[in-house]
Amino acid sequence: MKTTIQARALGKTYPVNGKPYWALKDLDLDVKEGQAMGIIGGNGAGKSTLLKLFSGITHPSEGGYRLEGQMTSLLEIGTGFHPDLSGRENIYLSAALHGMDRQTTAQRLDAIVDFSGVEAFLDTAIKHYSSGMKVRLGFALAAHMDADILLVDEVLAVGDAAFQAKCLRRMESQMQDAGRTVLFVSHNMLAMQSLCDQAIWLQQGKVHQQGESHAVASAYLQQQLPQSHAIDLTEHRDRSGQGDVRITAMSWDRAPCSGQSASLRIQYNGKAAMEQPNLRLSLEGADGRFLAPISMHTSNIRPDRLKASGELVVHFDALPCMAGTYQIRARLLCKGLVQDDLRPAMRFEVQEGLITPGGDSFSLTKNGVFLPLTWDLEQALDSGNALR
Amino acid sequence: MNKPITEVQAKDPFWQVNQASRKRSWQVTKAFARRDLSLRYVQTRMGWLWVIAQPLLAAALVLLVFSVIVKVEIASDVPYALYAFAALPGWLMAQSILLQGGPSLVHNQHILRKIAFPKMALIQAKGLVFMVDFLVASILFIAFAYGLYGSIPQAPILWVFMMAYTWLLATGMAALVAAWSVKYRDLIAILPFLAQGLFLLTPVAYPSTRYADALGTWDWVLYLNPFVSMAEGFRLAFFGIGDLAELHVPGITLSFAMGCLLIFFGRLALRWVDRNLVDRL
Repeated sequence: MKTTIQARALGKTYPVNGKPYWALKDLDLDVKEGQAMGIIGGNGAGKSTLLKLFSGITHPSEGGYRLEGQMTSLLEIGTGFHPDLSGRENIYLSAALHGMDRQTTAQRLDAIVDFSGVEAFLDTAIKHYSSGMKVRLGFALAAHMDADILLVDEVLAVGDAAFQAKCLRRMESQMQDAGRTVLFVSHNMLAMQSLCDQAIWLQQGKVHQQGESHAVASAYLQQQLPQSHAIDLTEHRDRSGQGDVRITAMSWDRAPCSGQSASLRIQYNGKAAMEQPNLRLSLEGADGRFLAPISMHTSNIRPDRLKASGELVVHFDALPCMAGTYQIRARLLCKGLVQDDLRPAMRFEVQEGLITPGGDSFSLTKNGVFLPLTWDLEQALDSGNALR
Repeated sequence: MNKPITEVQAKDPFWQVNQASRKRSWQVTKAFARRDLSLRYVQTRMGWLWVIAQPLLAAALVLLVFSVIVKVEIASDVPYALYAFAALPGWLMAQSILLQGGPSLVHNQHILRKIAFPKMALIQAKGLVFMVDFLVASILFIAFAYGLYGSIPQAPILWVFMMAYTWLLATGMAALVAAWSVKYRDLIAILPFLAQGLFLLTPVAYPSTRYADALGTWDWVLYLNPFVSMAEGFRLAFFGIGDLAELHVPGITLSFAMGCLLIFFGRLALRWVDRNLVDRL
C-alpha cells in the first residue's frame, strides 16, 4: 500500500517569553493509504500543531513532510460561518474555504441539508439557529467534502450523542468506500478507538508510543493515573482564554475515595484581582463524556472580587463518584470572559468506597456519579414490618 | 489518476510556502467577496441605495470644500466639478480597499487559524467589493458629465488602465498594511488618519502643479505619493491630453514608479509573513 502521509524529522517551535518552545520535535510518521490514525496525548503534546502543519496553516521549523492526494482539514466545525448569513450562504462559503467548488457544493446541497436536518431554516440567518443546529450544519458539510486525506481535530467534542454517532458512522463508511486516509485527534478514547485502527501517542512533541489503537489508548489511560496528585499546570501550552489569570495547579488533598470526604484544591495566579470570578469545572469520565458540573455560580457563590493569586477549595463531605478514572475540565472566568480553559486540567482515580455505609458500590466496571436521593417504601412495606 | 503531491520542508524559500493554484485563489476570493457583498448592507434602512448615495455625498463634500470654501483655481478651461470628480471614484475605491483590506487578516484571524488559504484572497475580495462601487460611481460621473456638459471620456483605454493600476495599488498597499499588522497593529490604528492624509495630499480636487507653487524644487517629495499618478491619469483619460497643458511629467512618472513598487512589494510582504503568520497574529 502507498504511503500518503510521510513526515521526517518534523519540528515546530514557537517563541515563548523570548525562548523557543518546541511544540513538536523530531517527528517521523508514515500513514498508509486508507488508514485511520488516531492521535492522542495530553494538553500541549503537539497534536493540534501536527495537524496545523499538515494542513498548511503554519510552516514547520525543522524537517518536512509529504502528502499524496487532496487534503482537507477539519480543525473546527463550521469554520468561516458568519452569523448574519443564511444557512445556505454559509454552506457555500465554508465549502469554498475548504476547497470545494461552487458547482460541487450545489450538487451536494440537498444531501448536506438532509443530513443536517435544518431544511426549514436554510434561508434564515444562522445567528437565529440554536448552537446544536449550527454544529449539525457544520458537520453535515464536513461529512460531504471529498478528499483523499482528512485531518480532523477534536470536532466530535461538540453536538449531542446521537448526532456524534451518526457522524462517526458516516466517517467510517466514507473511509471504507473511498480509501480515504484520516488523521484523527481526540480526547475521546471511545470515539478514537471506534474510528481508528492505528494510533500514536504524543508526549511533549514527540512520539511516545505507536501501534494498534486499543493498545495505545489503554497504555495512555494507564499512564494518566499517577496524575491524581498535584500537577503543575503552568507549563501547559494547549490552553485557551485571555490569560490574565491562569490556573497553576489542581490537586486532591488526599487520594479520593467514593463516599469519603475530599477536598479539591485549585491554585491560580493572575496579574490583578479577579473581578466577578467564576470557576467552572466539568467532571468527565475517562473517555471525556460529561458527568457533572461543579461551578461557583451553580452553588450560588458569587464573590465580587478575589485576590490576584490564591487557592480555591471545593469540599465534598462525601465524594459522589463511583470508583474509576475521571478527568476535570477547568475554566476560570472573570466578568463572564474566559481567562483560562484547560481540557482536561487533571485526571484522577477514585478508589472504591461506599456512598452510604452498608450499601454497595453498584458496579466496579461502570463509573459515574451518585445522586443525592432518599427512598420512600411506605406504600410497599407490609404493615408491622418496619424498615430497619 | 494522478494525485496531487504536497511537499513541504522547513527550509523552503518564503515565496514557495503555501503556494496556491490560481483556481484555488480565485475560488476563495470569490467566496469572501460574496460574503462581504451579502453582509454589506445587512440591517441598514437604505440597503444598496448606499452604493449610489455614498459617491454622491463624497462629491457634494468635495465641491463644498474645494470649490465653495477653499476656491481652488485650475488653469485648464474644463468645468471645475468635472475636474474634481474625474478621479474621485478611483480615490474612493482605493480608500475603501485600504481601510477594509488592511485590517482583514486581523479581522479574519479565527478563520486563518483553522483553514489554510491564500491570504491575498481576503484583500482581493475587498477589492472586488469596492470595484462594484467604483463602477457605479463611474457611471454616475459619466452620466453627470454627459448630461450637464455633454462631455464624454476621451481615452477609454487609459481609463481602464488607470482602473487596473488603482486597484492593484490599493490591494498592494492593503497587503503591506496587513503584513505589517501581523506583528504590530499600530498601522491599523492609524489607518483612518493615513487615508485622510493621503486624500488631502493627493491632487484629486486640485492640480498637482500646486505642489511646485508651495514647495518649489522640493515638490518631488509630494510626487512620491503613488496616488498622484492615479488622479492625473484619470483626468487625462477623461479630458484627453490636449485639455490639460500643465502637467509635471517627471513627477507623475516618479509617482507611477512608486506605485509599481508598492504593487509588487505589498504582495511580496504578505508572502513573506505567510509562513509564520498564524503563530504571530
